[in-house]
Amino acid sequence: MLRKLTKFDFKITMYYTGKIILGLAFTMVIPLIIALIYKEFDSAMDFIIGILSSVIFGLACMKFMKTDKPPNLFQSMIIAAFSWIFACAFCSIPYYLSGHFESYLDVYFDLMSAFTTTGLALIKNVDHVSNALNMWRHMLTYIGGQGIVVLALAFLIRNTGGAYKIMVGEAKDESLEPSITKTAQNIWIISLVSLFVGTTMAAIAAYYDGLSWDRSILHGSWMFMSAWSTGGFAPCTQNLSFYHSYAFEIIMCLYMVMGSFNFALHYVVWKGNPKELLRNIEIKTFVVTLSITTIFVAWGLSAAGIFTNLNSVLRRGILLVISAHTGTGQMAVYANQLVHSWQPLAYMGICIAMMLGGSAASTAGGFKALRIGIFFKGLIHETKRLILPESAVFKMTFHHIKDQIIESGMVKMAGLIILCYCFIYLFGTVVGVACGYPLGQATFESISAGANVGLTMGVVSPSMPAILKITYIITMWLGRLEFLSIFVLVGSVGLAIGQAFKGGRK
Amino acid sequence: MRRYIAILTLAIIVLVPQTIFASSSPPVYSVTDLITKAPELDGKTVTVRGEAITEALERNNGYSWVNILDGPSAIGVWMKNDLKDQIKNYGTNLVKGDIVEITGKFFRNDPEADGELDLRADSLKVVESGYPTPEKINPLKVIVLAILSLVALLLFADNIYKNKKKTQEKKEDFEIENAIHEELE
Amino acid sequence: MQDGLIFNNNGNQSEKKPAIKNGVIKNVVVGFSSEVLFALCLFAWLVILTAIFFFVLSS
Repeated sequence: MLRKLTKFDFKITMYYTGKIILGLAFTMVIPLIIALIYKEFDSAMDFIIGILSSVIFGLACMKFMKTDKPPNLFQSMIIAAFSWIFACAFCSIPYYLSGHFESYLDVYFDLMSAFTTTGLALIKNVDHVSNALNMWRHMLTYIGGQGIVVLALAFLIRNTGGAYKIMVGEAKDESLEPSITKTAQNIWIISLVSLFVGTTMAAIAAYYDGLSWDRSILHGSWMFMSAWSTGGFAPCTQNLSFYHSYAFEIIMCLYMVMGSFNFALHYVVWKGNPKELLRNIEIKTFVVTLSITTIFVAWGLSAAGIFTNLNSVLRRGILLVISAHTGTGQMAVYANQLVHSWQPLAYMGICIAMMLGGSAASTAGGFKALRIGIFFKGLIHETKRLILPESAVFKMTFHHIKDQIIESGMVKMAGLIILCYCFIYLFGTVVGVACGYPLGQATFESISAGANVGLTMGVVSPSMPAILKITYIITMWLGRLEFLSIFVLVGSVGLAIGQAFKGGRK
Repeated sequence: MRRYIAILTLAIIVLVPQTIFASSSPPVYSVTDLITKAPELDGKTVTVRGEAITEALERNNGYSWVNILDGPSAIGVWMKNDLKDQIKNYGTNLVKGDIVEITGKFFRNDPEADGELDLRADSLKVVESGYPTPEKINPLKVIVLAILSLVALLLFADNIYKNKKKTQEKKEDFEIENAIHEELE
Repeated sequence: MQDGLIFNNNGNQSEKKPAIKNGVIKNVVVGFSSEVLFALCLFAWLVILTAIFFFVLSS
């Protein structure tokens, strides 16, 4: 599959990256408007500078790297991986200029966390951040969740011949409709309708519980974006517990769960087939694993006798399970509380929930329910094959949108990716322990980064070692793009360098 | 080095509150201390000092939630509305909030607030008054902005010029074609 | 700018745009509310699970 990297590959990559950056420049207009409304003139300057530099880069790329050809699969995978790096770089400009970060590495960490919908944050003094920057932070998780490339698809790239392939590269490989532009548009329609309804619900809850009306709308929309894209950022240090509101928490849980559904599932259900919800293999797997992890946490917390009433267990424990399992990372307990007063069984339940993650082709991270489902069905299939006589021929099917037969290729792929995830969890843990953190915390944080969850036990802070920040950035990136496109990028770059050396020697 | 600092901070965190504890008035804790030492401090009367942030969340029953920020951590404080009314400024990006000193009962899992780690205030004192901190435009940013606009303008100008040229060429082509047609007819 | 990338495709979109059928809105409403309903049922199930463990273990 690996082949020599040509000049044309570079050209086409830069061309499409330029297009995507240009698209992002337009999204920066929304926080700019917020800045002007709230008279945050310094933040407004940050965004104008951001917009101008991305427009310049985008235009320059499109001018000097102009090409009419659509990218092939190989190229689109490189575009997917490459555009993330550049998108982070340009989106970081308003972050960096805001002065809320200690170093550029911290900025890049937060950006990667936003784009991968992780939700770990190194931002300092988050309660004094401007409304514009808050808007931008949450918009990035929202945009990152729907895929930067999907955004570009929906609005920018007219010739979509190769665009579907870019989406495959971004791990959203469900084609909802034969037409690719339509697929992207559908994803956005689903997200935008939910944004409207969800923001309204959250804003009403926040207003009822004491926030002023304009702040309830802002906070409502931010927290919705954070929940729906399974991101986990919040405009306040205390995250969800800032609001002290049961209703608000239930609404957030609702959107966390809905945000972790497969977009193909949303599409089928929204097309008038709600029964799919009960038949889908991912939903079944999700319900089973969520129930098991809930039992762990409920058992652990109840046995430890920390909480004296049921509502406490629900709001502190079960909310965290849902948040962990959907890969969101909003929390209504304090990071240090997890370290100092949680029982090991409950802690383990949260770790397992984080590892498993939500559905494929959604914004959730982790193994993904589809893979777990296929893997287990494959396991049963193999066992049956060994038990029954060799002459027996039987098929095993699963239901995901339509009934599909399990093939050994599918099981192998699912197993491989699950193994890859385990490897990055382990890798992050090793680096965390090497940096001097206790094993429990290092494991928790590493899983949280690798599975794009964003819960924290307090390791992630501006003062953590740079090497650990870089490790988490890499694991977040790998986990989000599900390895393959990054392997292609790394492999081809390595090959190109190898070629260059060979050429030089000659 | 980092490790020694960590040990030192830990030692300070553990030792300092104990020395203060000996005095008769409720000891002052940082919010981070409250969270890390929650099991020991549960149910005790403590004092915290911090900045009131964002907004008070007023509930229907004459009480409010006020969130207090102290260093890297923040905590929710449940208080009567007349205590809350003493706070005039809340911290946002444009305002530095009032620094308040609150004495109250600390709960690790407050059963009335569904297990939240919080403080139920008995008394409140505004230690430092807040003030507005409007954003000022950084002159360096203006310079960067000017340079960027210039570059963008150049790029745009080039494109517009080319576009014009193209349309003109097209026009000329069209005219030539027309002329040919006319001649043929 | 020549290949019409910025919102330039509005022209051909409006040509093909079909009239919004009543069925579409109804489907969206049904779909959305069924998802909400499903999530709420899931929560109810989790509450039951938690309640069982809570009352058995903490009594």
